[in-house]
Amino acid sequence: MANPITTLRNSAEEFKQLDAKDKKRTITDSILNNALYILMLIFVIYTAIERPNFLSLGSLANLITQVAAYLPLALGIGGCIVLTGTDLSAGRVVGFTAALAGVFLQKADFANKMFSFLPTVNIWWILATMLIVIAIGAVIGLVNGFFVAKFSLHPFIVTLSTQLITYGIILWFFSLNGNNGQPISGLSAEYKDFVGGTMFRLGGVAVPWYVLYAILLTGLMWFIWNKTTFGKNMFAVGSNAEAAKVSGVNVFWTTVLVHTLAGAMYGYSGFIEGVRSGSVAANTGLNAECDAIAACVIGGVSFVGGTGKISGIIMGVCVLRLIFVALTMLGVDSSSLYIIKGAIILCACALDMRKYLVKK
Amino acid sequence: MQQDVLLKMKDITKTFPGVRALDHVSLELQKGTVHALMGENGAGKSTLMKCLFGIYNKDDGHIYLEGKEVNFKSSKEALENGVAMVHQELNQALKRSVMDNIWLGRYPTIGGIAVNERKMYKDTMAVFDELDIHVDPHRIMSTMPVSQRQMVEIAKAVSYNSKVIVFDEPTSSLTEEEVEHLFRIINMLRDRGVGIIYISHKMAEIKRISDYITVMRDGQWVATRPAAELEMNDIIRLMVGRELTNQFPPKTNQPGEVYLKVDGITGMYNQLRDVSFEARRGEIVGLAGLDSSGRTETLESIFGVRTRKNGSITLDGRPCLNRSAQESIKNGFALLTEERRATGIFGVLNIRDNTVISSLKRHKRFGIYLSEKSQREDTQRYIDAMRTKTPSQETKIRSLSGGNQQKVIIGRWLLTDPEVLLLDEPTRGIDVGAKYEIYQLILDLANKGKTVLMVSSEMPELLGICDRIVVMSGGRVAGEVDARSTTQEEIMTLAAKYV
Amino acid sequence: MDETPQSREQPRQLRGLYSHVKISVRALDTIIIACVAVIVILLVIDLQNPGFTITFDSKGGTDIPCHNQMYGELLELPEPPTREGYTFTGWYRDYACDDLWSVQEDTITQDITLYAGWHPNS
Repeated sequence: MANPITTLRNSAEEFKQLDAKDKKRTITDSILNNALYILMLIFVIYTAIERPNFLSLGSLANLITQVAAYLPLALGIGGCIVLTGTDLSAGRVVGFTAALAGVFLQKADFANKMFSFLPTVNIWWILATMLIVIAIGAVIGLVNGFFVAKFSLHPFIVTLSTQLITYGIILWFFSLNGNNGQPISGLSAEYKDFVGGTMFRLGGVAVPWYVLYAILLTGLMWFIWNKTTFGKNMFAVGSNAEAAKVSGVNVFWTTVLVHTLAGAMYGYSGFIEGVRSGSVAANTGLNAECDAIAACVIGGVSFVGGTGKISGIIMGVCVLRLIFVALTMLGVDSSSLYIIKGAIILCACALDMRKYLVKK
Repeated sequence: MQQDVLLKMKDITKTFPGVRALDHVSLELQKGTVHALMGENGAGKSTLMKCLFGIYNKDDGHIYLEGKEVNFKSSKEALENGVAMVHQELNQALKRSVMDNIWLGRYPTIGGIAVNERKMYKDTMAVFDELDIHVDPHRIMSTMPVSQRQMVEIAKAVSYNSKVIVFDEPTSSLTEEEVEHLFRIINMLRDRGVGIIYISHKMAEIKRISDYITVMRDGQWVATRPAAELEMNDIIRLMVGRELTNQFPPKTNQPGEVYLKVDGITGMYNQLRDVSFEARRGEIVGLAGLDSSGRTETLESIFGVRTRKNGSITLDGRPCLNRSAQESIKNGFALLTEERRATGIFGVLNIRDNTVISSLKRHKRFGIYLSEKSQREDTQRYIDAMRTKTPSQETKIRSLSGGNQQKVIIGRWLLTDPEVLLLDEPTRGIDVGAKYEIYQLILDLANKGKTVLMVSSEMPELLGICDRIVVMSGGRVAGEVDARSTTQEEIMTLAAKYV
Repeated sequence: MDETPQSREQPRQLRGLYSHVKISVRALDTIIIACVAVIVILLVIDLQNPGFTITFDSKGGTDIPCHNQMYGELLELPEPPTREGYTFTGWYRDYACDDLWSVQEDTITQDITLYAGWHPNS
């Protein structure tokens, strides 16, 4: 690989040699291709001018915390997108596992404790709960993967139905034991500390422990994607499933495992989400998959299939969070935020296609 | 004479990366004649037609329709200007009725809103009567046999008042009786002054129906003659007549004892019937035949990516089930597929990933971790060994030329240490220089005692490097010939045996 | 030669989720520009009246109107609600009145609903 400065200089040289018309086209091309980044930059500059404390260490800590919370979900969905699929059930699975984790780890003396027979909370029970909810997420992912792989159903359809089914289970779960659909609160202090306790402070704002977990998880995913047979097979199947089959890749198991892994990620996200939102309601995690899919597409995990990098997903999550942190600080109405999210996803898909079509 | 020229294609040139598909091809179609277009698979017939209909953009050349230069952007535009095509694969709305299909996109309306069903029915019947077609215009397309759907396609072309109609292998799915009907229609169209381009492999038909014959070979125009002047043998000679000098490396392999036995393979979902043959160690066996004669299906059935109903595969006296690609690879088979783009390359992945995907086990350390270093070494070894031209291992395979892509995929298979190589059109879409290198590679493999089964539509290629050629026809083995003593004519005759 | 290699003038066939999409670059450009325009217009409208809505659920007490506040500000306390037979204990984040809103420390970061806590008079 040539070093970036020479590459840049070379492209500058090339640019000079183009005629006026081509120059104009090159400029339009690069503006359009980077539309979202430019938009983000404008937001950030505008916010920094309007709200000077946006450029503080504290808001950096805030950004890191938010990225750490949204990253695992995006890493899970990223795999599904590499396979040219997607996963719409993510948000509901997060809601379900968050509810489970919440119930498992309620304060022993909490008046509305749902299941009084559960053991008192200690570190082992917290770890066990984490593994249980990850396993439950993985099982839902396995079901997704099985139907996608075995019956060649489109992931949209399969995950849409698991989304609904999971929501049904959530509603049913919330009415157990006379709970009557009330949010699950009274989470034990040990659980809150384990996930959301202060790791260190940055500019006076606490950085919680789950940032560390997110870093570890990202490392693990990078290893899986880049250094294992499974990862290589995943990219091969995403790039060309027919060729993968002929090349001796077990397409069925690869597809199932990608979805299972994604499900495990949702399970972990649910475990974190319980603490993050303070209490778990039936609607916790709603539409979380939209943010994750948008982050992946912005980060270059293309719906074309077979392309994508962990670093791209991190980048995508950062960009999206930065936009939202900026918008929140500006005080933009939350109903507009949904419209903006939708527009960003549509825009990112158009950009994704455009890059593929225009490339020489 | 000149004003009778309906369609004139002049100096059409079309280049695909690494391949010149059409090289200054010219064609003139007179009013009221049937003009047959002949050539081997890949001679450029389809490409020429695709240039006419705007499916491909021609690089160079001009097309004149009744003296006016035209440049169609799509087959729809061509149709509106009176140039129609009856395809090999019919492109119809199968769930709609016959008349819906004919008037699709230009329904007669009442007041511009409601579709005038009655007029549509009347007009359809008028066209059908004219062509002596007996089909109920209300019938749903998917309930009719292919032959009748083809008739509907022809009726549609006629309803547009087409001046030029191209028939691409129209008789491949018709019974003899239906062929007679088709010929009656073609004759009638000719009498009305329509110009017809007729593409077919079937000599007997061509002799019967056509007035002129144009032969193409390797993307070049070879000859245009009145059909009456040409005998069948002349046509074959024109089609294949190329010199076999130095196109192939010298044959050095020595076939040993029988190694692979294929016995009675019958396909579950395809036309294969009772395919049996043997291959020796160090032998290169060619599989010849026309398109859809079952050559590709044979290889894919052996490799287990197609389901077999019956039949067995024996390797060195040991039965191989080969139920899936994984199992076949374990048993020492490798399959280079025909459609490189569809089932060979992983376009968006780089050369290293494309090379190592089938042999990842070799790079595994501690049961899970894949060593980057050993992947890099293996890839480099095969880039060097095959002289693959690439800037780096990280280059996306999509950006390589066809020949280099093929080398990467062959490298992928050699890394799995195969004993039997199944090569399906290994040189398709590859330029001449790279072809020679791939031939050399195949011979080297045979020299090392590997068994090679090779499918090719280019007969000189089979004659040039195979030891023995199994000729297939209509899903069956039509015969076996010794590559050294046979002729292209003999193979052609065998290939037509069960058509 | 029967294969269909991509050439420069032929649009590349999209794959994967987009495999049935036939779209020109110009149309994509329109979509991108339209999306960006929607985002920008929304923002401009929204920034005319920025802030987050704080809604108060008095849970049976006297109604408290909602109001707008900016990000990072401390909660502006309204007049406390009153309820027959109960004493107001403060504003809580959750309905079960487990998580008290700390007036001195907690800042506004999003739209929020606060629930009144009541203690029955004995």
